[in-house]
Amino acid sequence: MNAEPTSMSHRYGRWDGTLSRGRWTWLVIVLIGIRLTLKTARTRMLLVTVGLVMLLGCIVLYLLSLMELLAGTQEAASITDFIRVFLGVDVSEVSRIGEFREILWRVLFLVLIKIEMFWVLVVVARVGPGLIAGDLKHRALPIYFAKPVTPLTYLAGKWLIVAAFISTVTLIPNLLSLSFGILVNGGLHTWGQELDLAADIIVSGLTVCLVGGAIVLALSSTTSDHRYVTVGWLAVCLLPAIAQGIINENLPTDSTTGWLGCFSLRDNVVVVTDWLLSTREALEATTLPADAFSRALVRPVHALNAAVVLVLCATAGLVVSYRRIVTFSRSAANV
Amino acid sequence: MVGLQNKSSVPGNTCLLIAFACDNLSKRYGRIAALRGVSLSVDPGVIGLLGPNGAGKSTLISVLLGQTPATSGRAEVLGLDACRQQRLIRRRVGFMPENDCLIPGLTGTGYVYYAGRLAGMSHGDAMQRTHEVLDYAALDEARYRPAEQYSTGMKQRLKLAQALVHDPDLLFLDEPTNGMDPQGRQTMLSLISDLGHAGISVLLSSHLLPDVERVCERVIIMGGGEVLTTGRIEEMSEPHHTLYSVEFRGDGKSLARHLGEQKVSVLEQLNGRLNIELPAEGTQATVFEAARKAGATVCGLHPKRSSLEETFMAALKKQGDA
Repeated sequence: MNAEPTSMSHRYGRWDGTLSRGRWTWLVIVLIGIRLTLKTARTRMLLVTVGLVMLLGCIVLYLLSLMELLAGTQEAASITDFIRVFLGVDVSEVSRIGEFREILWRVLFLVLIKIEMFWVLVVVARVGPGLIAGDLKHRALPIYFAKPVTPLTYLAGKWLIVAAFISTVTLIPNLLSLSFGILVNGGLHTWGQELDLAADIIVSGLTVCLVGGAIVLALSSTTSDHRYVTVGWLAVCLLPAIAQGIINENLPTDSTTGWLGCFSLRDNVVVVTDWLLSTREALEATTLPADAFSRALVRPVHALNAAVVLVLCATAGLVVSYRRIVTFSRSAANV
Repeated sequence: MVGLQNKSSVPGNTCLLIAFACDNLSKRYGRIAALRGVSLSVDPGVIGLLGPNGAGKSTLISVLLGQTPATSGRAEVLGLDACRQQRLIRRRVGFMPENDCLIPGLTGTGYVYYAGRLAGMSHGDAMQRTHEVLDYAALDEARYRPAEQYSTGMKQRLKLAQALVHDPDLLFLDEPTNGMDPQGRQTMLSLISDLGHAGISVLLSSHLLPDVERVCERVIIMGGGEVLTTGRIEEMSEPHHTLYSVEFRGDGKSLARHLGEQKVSVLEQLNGRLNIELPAEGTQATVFEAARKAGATVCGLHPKRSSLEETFMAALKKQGDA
């Protein structure tokens, strides 16, 4: 530690610069927040592992592309087995696999999103809890609310930090995988055909960002100890999923298509994604036998119910965190 | 980046005639009245804000910063309405909170830079200004270390730097010398004094009366959510008309007895000195008359001056009695 200076070495100099109106303050909060989060080696390592999912997506897309070229040959059979195991779709009876490209890609991204939900759980548990709780713990709120930062700007900045990390584990890998698939399947010509799929992937990714970010920020705003937030986040994600598993085991499938099937956040995201990707309708419209794709489909639940639950969770999360932040901003001078 | 606005073109940035003003300002938290009809008009300068815990100092600062809406009344800061123009106020006001208020992981430079960006400075301006204010706060090489590793004195100077980064016209300092060693305290007080000379108005909230006495021109004493007294420190320490300190040579007991006969109260008897209180109709001649009778020689007769502490305690006592 350096010693206290014995006397002042400088006189104060006034600054004659300009201040902006603060329209981009949220971006400053996001950039500094991301930089601070990435300082932790574990977080960086975690994000690197996301590349594995992307790699998996790329490999499957490459194999599907290869299958289109090798259709009907002996080599295609081994790829067919892999597709049956990984995607749950049996295309062994299909001779012109290229005709099923659209549906196979949609099923692939549905499977990838299911896998990525685990990374979302872990990454949000790593990144989100300290965002507001850390500021509360270190009494850092005056640095925001003594400056021209509104509660909304603060909340938007913090939410975008979570959203950026969720995007890194869902949206961005999926879009990169899709781009790779397009490149190996005819380039820009294919791009036009897959615009719908890209839009669906974006909407699905944003849904995860919205819900995950809102819930973790609400939890983070309720305590100054980020460990409780982590436990709360895991509880919110896992306990309803366990309850849903028990319900599904003990009740007939027909009775869990409504609200009883909407407990698990992860399942709700998958159901909504399935609805966005229209996999069920697309598979049923094919000439494939029903049992060829039975494993690829998600549990039948009304997408509207699942969407309502997600919207309610996101709204409640945002309202709770906003109200808490407004309260903090009003007492920032007293913290 | 759009919407750049020159500081000089910010509304309210006219010639600083009044640093802040309150008119019958009240703030209630449920049944608790944190501020009760505070009316003030404070000229620019270095002003001390004194009061015991729960006096309403932090609430007053919070209302002036536009963070807490007042229950009733009106507050103006640098000519701007504290209820409606909070963001404009915060562009021109700096706040140094009492607590650490640090963001873990940020270096001193990063912390002040972040504060500058939040205030609306561009990247280049914020970085340049960060180094200027860190130089001013005498955080030399330490600025590149994580702020959580700083000593208490360094943390206090870092907080001052973040409050100054956007060059405010008015600075709210909440206990700026809290937890500092005497040397660090002197440095902080020198910085505050220099800020006053540089034309920045400072509202210094502190429990340490000698600190306030040293750097402030004026003082506001609060208690129970009310302003108990305000004024210039010099005026508050005006000489008493009835309290005197008598330096003498001779028999102290005899002098005290003769003073008592003249209805003069002897408050304190020390070696070679008496602290006395003259009766309302008494004059200094009474003391000399008593000394003559006691055979003592008066070497000095000084009217007593109130210290800020005495004024503070008297104001609180008066409020307690009321």
